[in-house]
Amino acid sequence: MTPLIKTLGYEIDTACIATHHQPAVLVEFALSREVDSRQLLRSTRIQLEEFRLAEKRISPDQYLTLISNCRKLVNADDTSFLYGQRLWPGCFGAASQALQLVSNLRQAIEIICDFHAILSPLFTPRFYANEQELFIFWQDATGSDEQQQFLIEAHMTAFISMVSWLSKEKMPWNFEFTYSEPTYIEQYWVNLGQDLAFNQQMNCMRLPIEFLDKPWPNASQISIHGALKETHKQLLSLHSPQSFIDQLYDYIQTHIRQPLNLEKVSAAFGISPASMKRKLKKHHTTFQQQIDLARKNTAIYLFQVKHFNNQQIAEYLRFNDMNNYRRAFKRWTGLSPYTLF
Amino acid sequence: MKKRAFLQTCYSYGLAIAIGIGVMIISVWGDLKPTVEISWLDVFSEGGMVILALFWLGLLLRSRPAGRVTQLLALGLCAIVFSWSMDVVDEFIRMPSTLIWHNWLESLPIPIALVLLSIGIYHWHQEEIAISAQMVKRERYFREHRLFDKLIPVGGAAYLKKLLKLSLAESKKLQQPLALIAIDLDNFNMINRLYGPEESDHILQLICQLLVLNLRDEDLICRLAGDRFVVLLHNTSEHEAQQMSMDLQNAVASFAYRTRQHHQRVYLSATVVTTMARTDDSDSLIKRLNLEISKTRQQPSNAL
Repeated sequence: MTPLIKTLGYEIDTACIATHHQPAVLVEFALSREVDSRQLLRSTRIQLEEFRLAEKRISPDQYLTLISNCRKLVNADDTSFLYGQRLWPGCFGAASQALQLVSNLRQAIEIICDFHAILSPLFTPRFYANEQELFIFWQDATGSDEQQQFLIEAHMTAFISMVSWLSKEKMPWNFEFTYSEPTYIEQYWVNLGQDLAFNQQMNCMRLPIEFLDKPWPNASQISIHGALKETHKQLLSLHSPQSFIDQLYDYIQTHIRQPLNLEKVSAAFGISPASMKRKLKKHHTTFQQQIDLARKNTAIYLFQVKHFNNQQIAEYLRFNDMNNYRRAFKRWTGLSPYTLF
Repeated sequence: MKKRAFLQTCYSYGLAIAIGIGVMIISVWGDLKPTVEISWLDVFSEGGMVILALFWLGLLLRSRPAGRVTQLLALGLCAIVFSWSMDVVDEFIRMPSTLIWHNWLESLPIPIALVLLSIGIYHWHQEEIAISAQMVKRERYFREHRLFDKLIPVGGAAYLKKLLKLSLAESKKLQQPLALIAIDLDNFNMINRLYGPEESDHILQLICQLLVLNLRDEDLICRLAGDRFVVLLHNTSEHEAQQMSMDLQNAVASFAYRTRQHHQRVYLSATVVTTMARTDDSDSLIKRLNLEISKTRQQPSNAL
């Protein structure tokens, strides 16, 4: 059987992030806090000169080490938020240019989602909407493990800060986080807003739908097309427009109504089950965890957007009886489906 | 805050030369002990003391600004290092028992060192009192450097929470009103984007100093997060607190900041909210204050 997926996405050890993009923003911030550059770059295998040369690409793994060093050395609660504020639109070539020219929130979300390999290589934003609300949820793209919370804080702040700068408007965003309330909650209040919920099912931002197509000032309907074209070229020059974990998630999501197992999915990716397992381990996850994640997110999507009830969700996900569904749901979320929906 | 480089290298040179001369004198008059006679336990314990004293000296010179107090403390420590290292050398070299003065090398520096250290510590104590007087609006009850804000020399949110607990207990006991003011700069995201993060950091530092100038000695200011500050007002009625919050708001609005690079005038304004401590605990009080800030923000009069 020929594999369905031609090129495998970038992994935690693929050199795919331009050093002068996100890593440079972080290094610049750390240096402004009088951190020693040698200590900052310790065991990242990056030289300070490489930021000036702007040629090298580093792996997510190296970038995560850099983040870990920066957090330790700066040692302040607001590191992720200040880094996030400086992130977007940023100086990431045509993608940043396109972001500066967007005419409404929908366009901004589309650019962030379509070109996340350039703009946000470690965390993938995903978007959907129902009649009342729009949802953007963020998913780990390369197994960031201990740096997950830092990256969520940084990316959400980056998005909120960019949107309020470009739209010149304060929007009533709601936030949901999978982790429990941190001790430095005041940073969330000041940088994100007051509507926060912790210990939830997704790392998600919600907003009333009327903001989605509201026109923004300084938009440029015509010149944005040139920038978008250039961004597509930029995306093609990358190793791949998606991470391996994203590809796997997408594959499971599209085939969620079929019986899936490790052998079948590995074959679709053109790799052996053993190397699939090895790759997943490298990203601190397992096959079952990925299946559970996709099923949980699908269930939430069906409930929020299609307004399915538990019976319909169980049917959609091909559960034979409600008891199995309830047990599985409990495993995905830690809660009974009847308390959540 | 950057650590000080070893600028005062004269101490280390002086100490090295003194120890060198001491060792030379001892080795000229005495003779080497055979290995079996050396008590290694003594060598380790006395050597360890020398290393510890050197460590104290290093920390002192690296962290303190040069000046009289530092000089006294450093000289005292140098004398201690010298005397203790002579003790170590003694373990390797036997001195003829007829010599009386060799003991001086060991014991004479100690009283000198203790006198120097005592004078040093006395002046250090005076210095601390002077510094505390300057810090009066930024700390109260206790000092904890680890809770200080990294960017701006006032306490952070963790310091505020701890302090608020103590203040709430105190105001309850004394039956005094306790007021809180939150000050949040308007459109700080815009300032950050327009003038760059370096300018906005500088603005925050200056705004903080400006707010400190407008406070009474009993008041206390902390930086909650980002561009939001909280002022704690002891024994202050709601009316007084309102008046003070107006004053703080006016102070920010009439602050004529010009950027460092192009001397552009930056216009600043702040949203100010006052609240009284009633029955709630410190966490819910801070939360309530922040909620009120968001509410005030959403009112049309405060829109862009």
